Amino acid sequence: MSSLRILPLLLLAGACSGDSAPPIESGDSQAPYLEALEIEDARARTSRPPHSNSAAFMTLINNGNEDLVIVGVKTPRAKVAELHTMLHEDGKMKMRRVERLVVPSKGELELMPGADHLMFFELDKAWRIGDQLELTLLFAKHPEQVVSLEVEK
Amino acid sequence: MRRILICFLLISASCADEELEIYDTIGGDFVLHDQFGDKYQLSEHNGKIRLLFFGFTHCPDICPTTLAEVQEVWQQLSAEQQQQIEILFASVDPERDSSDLLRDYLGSFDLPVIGLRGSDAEMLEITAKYASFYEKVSLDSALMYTIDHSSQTFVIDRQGEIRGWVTYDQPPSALLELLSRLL
Repeated sequence: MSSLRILPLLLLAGACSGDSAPPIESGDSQAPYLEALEIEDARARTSRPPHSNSAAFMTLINNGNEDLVIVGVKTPRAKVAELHTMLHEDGKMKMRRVERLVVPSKGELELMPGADHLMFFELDKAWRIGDQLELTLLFAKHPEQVVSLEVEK
Repeated sequence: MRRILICFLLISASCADEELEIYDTIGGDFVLHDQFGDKYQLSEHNGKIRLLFFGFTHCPDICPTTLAEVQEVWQQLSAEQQQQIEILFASVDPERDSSDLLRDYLGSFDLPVIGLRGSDAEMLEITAKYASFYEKVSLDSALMYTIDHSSQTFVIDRQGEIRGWVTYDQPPSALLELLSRLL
């Protein structure tokens, strides 16, 4: 199981470098919280014919004092990327798109099969086992975060 | 200590001998076509243990996970045991799942899966017989539409009777245990 601390994008790195960051205006980065974000077990699923879609999973751990709200995801390996969840109702599985996923303060969000997950459509080509991918998580009030992960079965 | 061991052995023997229930109010024979266009009638394959799952190729989550878990179980069986089992993936997305697509999709798993397809009417009838469910649902997503569906993998014995099933939230070991009691 891999564990990594996510680094902010270079453009935002300067704002993330210390505890004495200036007061943050609404809409700007709130870097101290992202320093508390850890990601474990990030992996993507290999695509299957017709290679129309794939999914990615990971565990996000928020050690900060404020919820982290994911509002989107993107990758150069797919034209469309969405946030999805799976509802289990009376033995039925219902996949639905959601607008946001929340990593609670002092808690974690597990993105996994059969639950909340990241979905990708219009792949550039088949996602093969062993491929290295880069995803960017988009947050409501925090800087976007790049996650590197490998395609697994 | 010896007494405890004897009790344990007796309990173990009793579990192993316990027959799996026959769920004769659900399931039954059906006729569909496989991914090569050939007719597949369940009863003509009696003599084999069948694993039956209703899914679809554009299913991004439940179906590949289920097939991967079946694959995990499959790899734990001996060649002799594998020969006694057929794995059936019946499509509940007749609109998108052509024979060619089923063939390509299932061929990407390291698993001998028979893909089955029929008309929407046929699939509705069969899933109803198996106390299962599917429904096409428009989605505000690039997926355009998805199929809400049941997630059971049915275990069908050599006589064509359902002897149990595992659901998506159960581990592969649950399927292995069911199978091992029929092998």
